[in-house]
Parts: sequence; structure tokens; C-alpha cells
Amino acid sequence: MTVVTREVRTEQAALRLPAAAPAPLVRRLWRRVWPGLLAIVIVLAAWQLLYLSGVKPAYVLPDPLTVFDRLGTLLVTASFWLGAATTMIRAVTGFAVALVIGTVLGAAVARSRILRAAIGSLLSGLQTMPSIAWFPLAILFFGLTEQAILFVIVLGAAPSIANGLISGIDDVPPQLLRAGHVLGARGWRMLRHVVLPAALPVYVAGLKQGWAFAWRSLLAGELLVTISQVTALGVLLSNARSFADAPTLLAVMIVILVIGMVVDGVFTVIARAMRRRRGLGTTRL
Amino acid sequence: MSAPRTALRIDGVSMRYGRTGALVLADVELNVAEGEFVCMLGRSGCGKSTLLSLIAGLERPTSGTIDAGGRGIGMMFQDSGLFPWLTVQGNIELALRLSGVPRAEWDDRVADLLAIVRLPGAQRRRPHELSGGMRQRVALARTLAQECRVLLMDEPFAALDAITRDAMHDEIERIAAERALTVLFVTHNVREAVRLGDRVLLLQSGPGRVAGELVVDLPRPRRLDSPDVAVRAAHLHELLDAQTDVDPEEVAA
Repeated sequence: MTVVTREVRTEQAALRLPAAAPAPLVRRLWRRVWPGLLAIVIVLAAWQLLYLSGVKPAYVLPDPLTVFDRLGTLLVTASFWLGAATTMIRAVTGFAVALVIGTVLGAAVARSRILRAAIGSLLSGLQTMPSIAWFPLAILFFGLTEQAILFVIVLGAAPSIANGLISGIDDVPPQLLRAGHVLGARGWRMLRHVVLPAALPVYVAGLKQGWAFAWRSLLAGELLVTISQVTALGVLLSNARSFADAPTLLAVMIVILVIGMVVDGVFTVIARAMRRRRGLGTTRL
Repeated sequence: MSAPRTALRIDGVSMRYGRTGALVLADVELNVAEGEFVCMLGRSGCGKSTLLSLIAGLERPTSGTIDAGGRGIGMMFQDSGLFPWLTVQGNIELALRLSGVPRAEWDDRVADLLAIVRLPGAQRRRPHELSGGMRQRVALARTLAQECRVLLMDEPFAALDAITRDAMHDEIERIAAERALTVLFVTHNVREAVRLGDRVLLLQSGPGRVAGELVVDLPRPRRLDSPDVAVRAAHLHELLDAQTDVDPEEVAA
């Protein structure tokens, strides 16, 4: 009898242990990271093959190692960091202004039937307008100044942010509005406790898209609107082209890509956490 | 013994959506006594949900008056209507906040309410982590947080499995009695109406109106599968079937 009991116990223990112990952190991290790493390796390999095939001379298309070597030297120069700082300050300023304008505009259009009829379709239309098409006008208005760049960033990003808020508010489930109403929420309190929280995930999706537009507009702007004595990532790019310095050009491009991806990743993480808390799964935005 | 006071008086209420839409409710008259549990039974499209929406103030009647004598009105839906971005605690707190309860009392009140609906300790759960029955319990707690005297329930248990629904019947019966709530309960389930109601109203469609009523004189607690309930349910079924013959829409079709 005792023997049997003991056997059962050990069996249970043996069964429980592996299930209870979670996979170690390193392995879980690896599981999420390896597909991305593999993709990077494939891209680098293709690049290297392209380089070896000699379709373009080495001074036009350098090999990855040269570019990353240049990136290493670039990252310890003051002018690079000055340029990156200028670009980032412009991006943050532009995005912040677009955030305020887009949010106010979106809230107004979502609440007012007249405003919606007046500029609702214009706001969606503006999203299809390539931001680079605004630059001639911006330069005419503001000259080669910071304002010209800011103007185009805001025009690029604000419609996306406004549209995110509008569709977020439009798509609040009527069931939640009814629940809020019977709980006594009216007017501002309905907006604050029901409508805005319900609209938040779509609004964040709009912010994410707005960021992408802002970043694109900004870099286009830095190529077109060069302000003397001011360095920026776009300026580094266009200087590298002037001096036919392909390794620097590609290194700066990598930096631009990485910054864009990192900020985009921050929005994705916020959106995913929000959706998970609401039990909405982790569908990609 | 004095006659019980009227909790809800509905007088000649008609409802039409838009100016030319079909008449959804025609001249509905209804008095509900304080503490009474009234079930409204009818096929879909008979306007029973519309009537609840009108009483809750979600919509305005085209004509007629609805008077709850200033009693607080709470409402539950088939879908719990819990806010997915808030925890259970947050959902109930919002009801307390909107009813003007001081912040200092929230924690205690939430704990009390969760105990009443038999979900103690569920404060930090999120709606999507709960089963359908648990969500309706939280929705009930949130509604009770408003200290409402009249409780409107729009098929609140229609999406629950049979076992959970039985349990919820017991809970709502107990809570309604303990708090002397006046309940208006919409359902299309005949047995459920007999199980819960002091009175069952039959609604007819095209346009919606009260076509008859049955006073359920059975002692409580009742059981859904008791023979007495079955007999009355069968009787109601006959009344509902008789209705079909005169339903103008169906005749037209």
C-alpha cells in the first residue's frame, strides 16, 4: 500500500515539475528575436552578394562591413550627434504640434456634424497628399527656415492623428454608450469616462501612423530645406551624396531607418499592452 | 393592509422611429407596484427592448409619459456592457463616482457589492478574464452601486448556459427581495418569465402593445423545471401561439 502511494506521489511530482517551470528568459527572448535576426542576416548576405557580383562599382555600392565600419566612426563624431540631435528635436517638436492640432481637430470633427461635412473628407484626402508636394509652397511661405520644415511635418502628421481620433470615437460600441448613459454619464463625463477611453486604441494607431508621416516629411524636408550652418541627418545624407561618399550615405540611412523603427516600436508596444489589457488579443496595428 | 405604491407608471406611450417609420409601440399602458417583479414576454420585434430603453431614458417616446416618481433607474443588458479598459473595481467605482459617492467610501462599497453578487475578491480582474455569468454578476453589482430602486433587465441571461442561468435566477430573486427592488425583466423565454415574475406581461408586435398578462401565484423560491412552472409556461405558450394567428405582419407575409 505505502509503496503504491509513494509511487503515485513521485509520478505527480514528476508530472508537475516541467509544466510549472517557465522557459528561461534567455530562451523566450531568443524565440522572439531569431526571426528578425535571420531576416537581417539574409538582407546582409544579399547585399554582400550584390557587392561581390560587381553590378555597381565599390565606390557606389560598398560592402556591408565597410558601411558598418563607417557607421562606427560616425557614431563617435560630434557633427553626427549634432545632426541627429537637430533632426530629433525637429521630429519631436513637429510631432508634438501635430499631436495637439490633430487631436483638437479630430475631437471637433467627431463632435460636430457641420465640421464633419465641411472638412471630414478633406482630412482623409490630405492623408493621400504626398508631403513632399507641400515643400515648394512651404519654402515660398517661410523661406529656407525651420518653420518651413515644421509646417510640412504638421501637415503630414496631423490628418492621420485627427482621423485616428475620429474613427476611434465613431467606432465606440453603442453598447458601451448605452451602459454609460444608464450609469448617469452625460456630456463631458461621458466623453471622459466612456468615449475617450474606448477610442484610445484606434487613436494610438493614428499616432503611430502620424509618426511615420512626420518622420518621412521631416527627412524630405531636410533634403530640400537646407539651412546654412545647421547640420541634420538629412544634411549629412545630401553632403555624402555630393562627395560621392557612399559608405557614409548608407550609414546615415541605416541610422534613419533604425530611429524610425525604434519610435514605431514604442507605439506598437503601447498599443499591444493596451489591447492585451482589454482582452483584444495582439493583432498587429 | 394598504395597497402597494406605484413605482412606475407608463401612460399612453407610443414610439415611432423617425417621422415616417413604423410604429414600434402603440399606446402602452402599464403600472408596476413598488417591489414588484414584472416579466415582459414577447417575440422579437414586439418592442419590449424599446420600452425598456424609453423607461431608462435612452430614447424619448413619440407620445405618452413615463413616470418613475424620481426613483433611480438602473439597467442591465444582454451584453454586460462592462468597460474593457477598467478592472472590475474600476467599473463599479465609475458607477459610484457618477452617482456622487465620496471617494473615501469606494473601496468598502465595491467590496460590499461584490459580496452581494457573490464575487468577493474579484476587484482586480478584468472583464475579458471573466466568464459570461461572472460578467453579468459584475454588471449587476455596477447597477446596484447606483442605489437604483427600479431595475430594468433586457434579456440579461439570454447568452448564458443553462446552469449559470439557473444560478443567476436565484441571485436576482434573492437580491430583488433583499433590496425591495422593482424589476422589469424582458425575456423571450417563457419558463424564465414564469420562474421569476410576480406577473408576466405578454407583448404583441406590429405595433407593439401589451396583449395580456398572467399573474404568477406560485410560492418562491421557484424552480425552472417544476411542474407548476411548466403548466403556466404551457398556458403562456398557447397565448403566444394564438397571437401569431392575428399578427398582421405574418398575415401579410
